Amino acid sequence: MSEREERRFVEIPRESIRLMAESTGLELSDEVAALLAEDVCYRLREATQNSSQFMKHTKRRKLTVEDFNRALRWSSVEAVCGYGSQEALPLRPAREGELYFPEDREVNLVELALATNIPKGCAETAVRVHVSYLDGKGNLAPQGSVPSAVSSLTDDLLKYYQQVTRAVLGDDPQLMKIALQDLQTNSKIAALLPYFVYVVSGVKSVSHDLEQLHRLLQVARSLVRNPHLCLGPYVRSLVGSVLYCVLEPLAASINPLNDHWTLRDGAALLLSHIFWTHGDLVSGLYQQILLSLQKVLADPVRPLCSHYGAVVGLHALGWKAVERVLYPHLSTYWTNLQAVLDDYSVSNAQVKADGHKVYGAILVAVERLLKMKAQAAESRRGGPGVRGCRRPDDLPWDSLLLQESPSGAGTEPGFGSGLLLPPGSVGPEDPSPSVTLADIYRLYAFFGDSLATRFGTGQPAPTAPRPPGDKKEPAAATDSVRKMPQLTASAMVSPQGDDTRDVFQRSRFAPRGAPHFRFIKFQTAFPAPHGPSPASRYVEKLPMWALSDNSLYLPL
Amino acid sequence: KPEGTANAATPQAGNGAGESDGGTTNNGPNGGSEKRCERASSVSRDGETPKPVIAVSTVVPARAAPVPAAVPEVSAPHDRQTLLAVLQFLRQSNLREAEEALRREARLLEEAVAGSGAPGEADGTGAEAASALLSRVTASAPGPAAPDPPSTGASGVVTVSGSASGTAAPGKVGSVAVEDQPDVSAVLSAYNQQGDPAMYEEYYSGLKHFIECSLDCHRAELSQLFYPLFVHMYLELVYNQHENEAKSFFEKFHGDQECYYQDDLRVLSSLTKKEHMKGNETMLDFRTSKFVLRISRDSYQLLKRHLQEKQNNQIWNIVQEHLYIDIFDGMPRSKQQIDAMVGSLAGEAKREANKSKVFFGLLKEPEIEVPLDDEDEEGENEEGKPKKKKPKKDSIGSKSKKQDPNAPPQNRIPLPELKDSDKLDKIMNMKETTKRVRLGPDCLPSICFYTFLNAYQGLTAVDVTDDSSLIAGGFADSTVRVWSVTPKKLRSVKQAADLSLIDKESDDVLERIMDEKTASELKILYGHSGPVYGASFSPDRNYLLSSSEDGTVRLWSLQTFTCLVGYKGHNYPVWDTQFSPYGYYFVSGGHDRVARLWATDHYQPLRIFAGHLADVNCTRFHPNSNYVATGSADRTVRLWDVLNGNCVRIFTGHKGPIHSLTFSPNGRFLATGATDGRVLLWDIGHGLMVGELKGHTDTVCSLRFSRDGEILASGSMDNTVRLWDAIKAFEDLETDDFTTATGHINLPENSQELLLGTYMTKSTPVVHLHFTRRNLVLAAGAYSPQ
Repeated sequence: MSEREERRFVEIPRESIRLMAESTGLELSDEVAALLAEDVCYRLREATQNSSQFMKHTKRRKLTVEDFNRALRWSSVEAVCGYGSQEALPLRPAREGELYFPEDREVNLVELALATNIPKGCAETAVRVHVSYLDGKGNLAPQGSVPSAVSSLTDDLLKYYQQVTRAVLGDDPQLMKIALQDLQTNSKIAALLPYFVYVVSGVKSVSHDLEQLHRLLQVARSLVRNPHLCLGPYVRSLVGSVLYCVLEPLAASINPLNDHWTLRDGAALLLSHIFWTHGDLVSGLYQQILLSLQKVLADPVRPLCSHYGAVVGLHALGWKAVERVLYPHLSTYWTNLQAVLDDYSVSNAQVKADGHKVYGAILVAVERLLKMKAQAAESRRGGPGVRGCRRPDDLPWDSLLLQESPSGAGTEPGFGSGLLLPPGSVGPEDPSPSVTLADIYRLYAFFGDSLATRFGTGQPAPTAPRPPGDKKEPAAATDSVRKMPQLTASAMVSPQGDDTRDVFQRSRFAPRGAPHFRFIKFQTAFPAPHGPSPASRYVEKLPMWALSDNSLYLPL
Repeated sequence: KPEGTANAATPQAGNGAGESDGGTTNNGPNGGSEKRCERASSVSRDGETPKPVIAVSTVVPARAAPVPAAVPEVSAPHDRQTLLAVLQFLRQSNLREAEEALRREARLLEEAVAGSGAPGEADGTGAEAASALLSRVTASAPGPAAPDPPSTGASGVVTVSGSASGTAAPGKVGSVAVEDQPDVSAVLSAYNQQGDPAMYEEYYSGLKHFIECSLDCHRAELSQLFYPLFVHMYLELVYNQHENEAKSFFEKFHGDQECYYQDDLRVLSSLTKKEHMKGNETMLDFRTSKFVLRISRDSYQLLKRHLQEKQNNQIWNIVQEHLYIDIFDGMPRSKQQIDAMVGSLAGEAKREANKSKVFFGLLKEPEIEVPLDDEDEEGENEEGKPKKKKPKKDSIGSKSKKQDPNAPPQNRIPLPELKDSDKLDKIMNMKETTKRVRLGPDCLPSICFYTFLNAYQGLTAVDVTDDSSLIAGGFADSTVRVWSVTPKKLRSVKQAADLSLIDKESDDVLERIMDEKTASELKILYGHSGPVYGASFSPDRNYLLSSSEDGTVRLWSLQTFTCLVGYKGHNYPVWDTQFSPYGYYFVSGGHDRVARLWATDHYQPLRIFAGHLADVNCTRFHPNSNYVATGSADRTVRLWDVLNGNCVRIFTGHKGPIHSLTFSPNGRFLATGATDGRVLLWDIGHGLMVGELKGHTDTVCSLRFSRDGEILASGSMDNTVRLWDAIKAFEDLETDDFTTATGHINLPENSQELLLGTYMTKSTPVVHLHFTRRNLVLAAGAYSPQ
């Protein structure tokens, strides 16, 4: 026993002490190091002992870094910062020697501090009451003290689980709706969370069945939206399942009749939703997602539908993701895609159709990037007056989306809010865009007119007023054929000159003063990049385009 | 006039606040103290303010209770030494005024201080000084008020106390002194003797051999010696810097110690250098306080003879200097009896520590006419009814209702008068009482669980109002959140400007002052800067107390949902706080190892209860508000008299830090729960352990008796609520004269029979338990996923 006791203590070898001293520029003799090592060990034990008192009073069984820091503070020692994360710190070995150090990622504080879209990952604390035992009688079996095996769940929870899964995967759409609704609001299913997450991860086994995939995604969506659930460690698993739907060459997509595109769009939106609302629970989630998307995009062997997923995924994550991943990759990717698109053989017909899908997706993503860049450039130029009314485009989008979401709710209830998010990453918060506007010009090398036309034409939208400057664009639309490597950006620089358009009825979007946006470079190309012009509305709705056949302006 | 004046305020070492307040004892509305009240008060309670008992009497070594008749001969020199040490410390720290005041109070001469610790002026002088001192205090009580103009008197007093208590929390004075002052440490520490370090092992194993070979009946008793001897010998070795010997000594013998000392041994084993002993509080306690053993005369004689025969001076010295052997006549105790009582940091309680009389009975309830109509009538109806205005209930008022013979005099401590709203509430309470479920083994209560969702492991304290209408949670993120658990939402009072518009004569003025716009189910109180470890509602539901890691206790108004007062004094984390059942007073206990009694309108404590050797983890008021119980990490429970600050009971027997306490509704019994998962039951009147409830597998966080005391509910970190048959547990107590006199108890091993039910929660530690007025159990805790 004594030995075990001993081993439970921290022992810091004198070598470590000496190394630490060296790092601060001190040379220690053996003797001093030994003495110091012993004292350090004792002090550590003492602090640990003291910290346990804080743990006990917080009614926890797990000692946290916080407890330890409190103990240090009360013994007048400076607290150790930077170890508060819930996750274990990965230790990296140094190249030479047996030296390990915790990985220290750099965090852009400016970005964090100025972020306006504070993720609300943490649900509000709430109290719920329920009668556990009536007259001292009740289920005397253990009530799921350790939710690790189904057997430890109570009967009622188990029943609930069975009913809900049956309802969600069953035939009755009404029942399914109710079940999903309940999953979204029920406050007592925390113990079941791991099971539902497991169910969602079943996407990997039903990749042949689009319908099932859709439903599982909806389960995931309901879970994410439930304000009472703390997803915590399960975020990763959910993201994995959703990414699967976005990226994998699903078995269902072999049949061209299957509309797996919608599934991918929906999954991409859900992905961005999870990321924005729960991304703070898992550090490095963003990087991870980007990495996996990039990997798919960079892999020419992957089928086009995977590429499509990657592009819509990036698009859903915001224009910065597009800028970071898609943009630098575009030139190489383009050649491949073009090869596909230029192959008119019959055998290639299906692939070519897919290629057009990808093309469309890229187009939309790039277009948005371009617009944001232009806008950022514009607002910088515009000085403080414009800056004050940050993100000129957000407001209209939001309001439009809010208006629209009910109408679309029937089939795709989740999409409205997904769209709210990308604008958050946008605009003047980004003080130094890594890619300048001029660079973005190069995009025209790829898209040429089609980019311009897409900005200009849009759908005939009966509800929204057409901006006055929109008149000439339909003409451009007529010749909007795929003109890939057309190097003439000049085609779009057109007469308007510096027509400062106060384009539309700003009064609708109340309190933003009277900012004036000047589009000097792109004026002709974007008649209405800001505000509720049909075009921008269309762009925002974009990831859903595959729903309706006529919504995608593809030069086929 | 309560007799408090007489024996209150013996200024003792290390208590700066004590003597200063002692000057203005509780002599009612005289100029000085009145003035002070006003200056101090931040919350004024509309003129009904009961006169506070300002005299603070406390003590660093609390067992030297300064009741003149009972000044124990033994402890007097010890106190005197401490006093001298503190004086010296004060002088060195340049705290002139405090030093002056202390010396004046203690009437110590300059020379006495100079020849500090001179053992020559032994017992006689000490005792004499103490009693003389008391007479002085009594005499000087009206003193400061008369000659001085009140204001200067008051300010003078404040300065003194401020400077003294500013140095360090009283409980800590000792440790501070030892760290910084070599000569003080010489006074306090006594490991100066130099034995041959190599012989220590031999001495110890010699004694071990002797004890193991002694008769069975003596062996159990003498085995108690192992632990304290082991610790002191080890510390002596460390103190005298025989590191290697100390290590091997520890290695060799630590396996012999009882398992419940493991935690202490762990601390001990990490301590290998003299430098480490500085500032290590556990060690300080071992050295400054005597470990108490209870041994029969026969066993003691046996031991004495053995040690003298063997010329084993080393051990004999330790026994003399560091152990207090409480010898009793009669049969030696059995192993079982001993095991039940030992386990605390400083051994058992001395028998005389539990001898003083405790008024554990309940105060007479004021008579309130309950409207007889059984229908649920409106609140307005009741309000309109002429209530029987009770004339101030005085001491003779025991005609109509039988007075509990064990109850304290009604005005032993001043209590706030009942307001009309309190009376209304009492009426409501009585009505509910008629609908109360009578519980018993066959009629168990229903349990409702309040789950705190999304608390992210941050829920640290919970309280529920007596009428179960509000629930408050203290969180690790420094917030206090108050929820209404009835459909009635929480509303604040309107702003001052809006209030002035209200017709104050209207009948529904109380309704009109509320701001409807602020109605919500939840109010969040911001103010603390550390985890909130304790929360307590006032009985009238107008206030909420919270205690926090930031060292303060805060008083919140539940009318405006703002902080009214921050009570500073602990300077270290405050683990618990609780309102008195009659309101106005409250108690707090914390890491500084003292509990403090406060009144809401005083920014300084009225009493400081010092004596615990480790953190005070939990504090509870006795139902009659005359006593306070504290549970500590030193594994003892103490009962303190609010009137004079004396420690009147010390309960030992827990084997782990105590984290929950509760009094039975009739005031006779106390239940305590500790980290070892055991619940112990105590008879307060006799000062005896009367039951042990085993079943929980983790810390017992919450305990509560049902309204009529038939059932004890315990909630634990092991995610269960357990119900125990309290009636049966207290049924046939061994309270015959012999047991009472000797303190020997025989506990029946009947936990399983008493356990009425075990109720699992869903992965939720039970932080708080509450019985509604109709005996429904409310449990609360935060869901904590794995």
